[in-house]
Amino acid sequence: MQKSTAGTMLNLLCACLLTMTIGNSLAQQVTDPNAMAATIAEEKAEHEVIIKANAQITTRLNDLTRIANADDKIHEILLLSQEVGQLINDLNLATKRQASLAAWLDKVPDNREQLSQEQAFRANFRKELDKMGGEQNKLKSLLTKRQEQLRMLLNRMPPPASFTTDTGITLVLIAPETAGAKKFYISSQPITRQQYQNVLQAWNNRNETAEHPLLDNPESPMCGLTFPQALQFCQAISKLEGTKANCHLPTVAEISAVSKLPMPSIAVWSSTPWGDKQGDEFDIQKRFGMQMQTVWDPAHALTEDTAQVFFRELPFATYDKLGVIVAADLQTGIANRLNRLLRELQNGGK
Amino acid sequence: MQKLLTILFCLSLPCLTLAADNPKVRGNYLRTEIRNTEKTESFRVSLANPEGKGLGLSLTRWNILTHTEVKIYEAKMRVARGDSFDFITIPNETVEGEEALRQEEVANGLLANEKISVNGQEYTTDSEGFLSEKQLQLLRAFDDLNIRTLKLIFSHPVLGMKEFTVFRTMPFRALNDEKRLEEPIEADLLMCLGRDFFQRPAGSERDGLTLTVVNLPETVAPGQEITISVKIENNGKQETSCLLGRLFSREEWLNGMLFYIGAIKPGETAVISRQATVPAEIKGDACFAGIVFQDSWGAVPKKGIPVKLPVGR
Repeated sequence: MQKSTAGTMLNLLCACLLTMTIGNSLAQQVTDPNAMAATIAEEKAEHEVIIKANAQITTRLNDLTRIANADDKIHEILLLSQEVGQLINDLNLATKRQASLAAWLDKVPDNREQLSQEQAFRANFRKELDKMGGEQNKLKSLLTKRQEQLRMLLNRMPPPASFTTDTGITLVLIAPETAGAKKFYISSQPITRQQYQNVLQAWNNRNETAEHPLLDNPESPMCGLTFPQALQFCQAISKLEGTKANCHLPTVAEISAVSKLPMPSIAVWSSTPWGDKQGDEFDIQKRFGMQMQTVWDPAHALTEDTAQVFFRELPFATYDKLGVIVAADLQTGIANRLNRLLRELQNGGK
Repeated sequence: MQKLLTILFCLSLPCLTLAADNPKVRGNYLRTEIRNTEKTESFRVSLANPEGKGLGLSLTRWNILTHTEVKIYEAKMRVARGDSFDFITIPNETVEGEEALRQEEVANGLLANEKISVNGQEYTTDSEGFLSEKQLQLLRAFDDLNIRTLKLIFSHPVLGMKEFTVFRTMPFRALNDEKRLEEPIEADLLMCLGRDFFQRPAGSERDGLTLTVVNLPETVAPGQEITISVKIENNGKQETSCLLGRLFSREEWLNGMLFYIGAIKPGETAVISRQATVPAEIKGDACFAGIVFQDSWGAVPKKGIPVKLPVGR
C-alpha cells in the first residue's frame, strides 16, 4: 500500500513536471487511465472518420468518369480537391497530435511503484498510436497522389466551347485547321455599344464613357474607335477577367481561321501590323517611323476593292463602320470557367 | 633673138618641169563653203516650273539644219630655188578639202497646241507648249522612292520621236560624284522645283520645326481636285537637311505622296503642296492620312501630322 502510494506520488510528481513542459491536458491524458482511455477512443473515432472520408472520396473519384457535363465534372473535381486538401489537413493535425502524445508517453519513466496494469495500458496506448500513425502516413501519401491525380484531371479537361466574360462578351472556341496553329477564342460578332460601355464602366473610366455615349441603339456595333482605343478596350477586358486572361485584337492569322463564323458587316481592327517584315512596304514604314495596322473588312464596308478583305489603316483613323472584335487565347477561356466554378463553389452553388 | 628665147626656155624649164611633176597643193585655209543644207524639224523637251503653272514639261520647236560643208584652201605650186624648193601661191586658184557634215539646231518657237504622245498616251500642249506635271503624273511616278529616273518617250506625227529622262538625285552630296554626265540640269526634278537637297554635314533642325497642314478642304467630294499643303516653319537654330515628307494612307490616291522640302533656313517658312483627285468611287465617310517626315538622319519623331478629309456626297 505504501509502495502504491509512493508510486502514485511519483506519478503525480512526474505529471507535474511534464505539465510544466508539455501542457496540462496532455499530461492528464497520459497519466490518468480514464483520460487515456477516452483519448484513445477519440483518436480512434477520428481516425475512422478519416478512413471513411477517404473511402467516400475514392468512390466519388471512380464516379467522375460517369459525369458527362464538363462543368459538372470540373465542379466535382474542384470539390474533391477541396475535400482531399481538408482531409490531408486533418491527417496532419491528427498526426501532430498523436506524435505529441507518443512523445509524452515516451518521456514517462518506468516506475517499479507503478501498477503493471497502468504500464500495460500505456504500452497498449503507445502501440495504438503507432498503428494509427502508420495508417495515416500511408493515407496521407495516397491522398497526396489523389490530389495530383485531380490536378491532372482538371488540366486534361477540354476547353469550354465558348465562354462569356464578366462584362458580357461571349467568345467562341476556334480550332484552326492549319497544322501547329493554336486554338483560341473570338467574339463571333463585333462588340456592341452596350458591351463597350459595360467594360468601360467596370474599368471605372468615366471619361471614355463620356467620349462614346450610348445612343439609342445599344445593340449596334461600337464603331469609331481608333486603334489605340481598341487596344485599350481589350486590355481592360483582360485586366477585368484576371491575371491569366489575355484578350486582344485578333491577328490576321486568327481572322483567317474563322471562316465558319458569320462575317461581321463592318470592318474591324486587327492587331497585325501592315506589311511583311521584309519588302518595300515594311522598309518605307520603317524609314519614316510610321506603323500602319491591318483592318479586316469582309463585307467591304470601307473598301472598293472586292478582291481584298484586308487593308492598311493609320492607327488614329476612325470610321462609322470600323469596330472591334475581341480574341482571347485558350488559357483565358479555361481560366474563366475555372474562376466561375470556383466562385460558385465558394457561394455554395450546385 | 634666138639666143634670148633659148635663155628664157632654160630659165623656165625647171618651172615647167615642176609644174608637170608636182600639181597644185593645199595651201592656207581660206574659208568653208556650204554646198548643201537639209532642214529637218524637231523639238526639245525640258522640265519647267513657270509661275502659276507649276511643274511640267516645256516643249519647243527646233530646226535641225544639216550642212554639207567644204573647206577651201589656197592653191600652191612647188618651185625650185637653188638647192631647195619653195611654194608659191597660184593666183585665182583654190583647192577644195574634204566634205563634212555639220548639224545646227535653231530655235523655231514653241510647240504650242500640238498633239503629242508621251509613253503611248496622247496629250495636247497648251498655247505655251507646256504639259503640266498633273497631266503626266510626273511627281506621282517619283513618289516611288525606288525610282530614280523616269524615261519619257515623246512621239509627234511630224516631228518624230524624242527621248527625255527625268531624274531625281536625293540627296545631293558635297562631292557631286553621283551626278552623271547624261543627266542635264534641265531634267533634274528637284532642281526644277527649286528645292535644295544638298546634304548638310552638321545635323538637321528637328526640335524647332513646326509642321502643319494648311488650307485643307473641310470636306471632299468624289471627283474633286484637292491640294494638300504642308507648312514648314523653322524656328530652330540650324537648317534642315534633306527634309522629306511622305503621306501614308489606305487610300491609294493619297498614299505615298512625297513632299520635297529640302533645306529650310532658321527663321524661314515654306509651304509645299501636292495635288490629287478624289476618286469617283470613294467609299467610307472620311479619308485618313498621316504625313510623316525624315531628314538626312532618318525618321523625324513626333512631328507626324494626322489628316482627316470628311467625304461629303
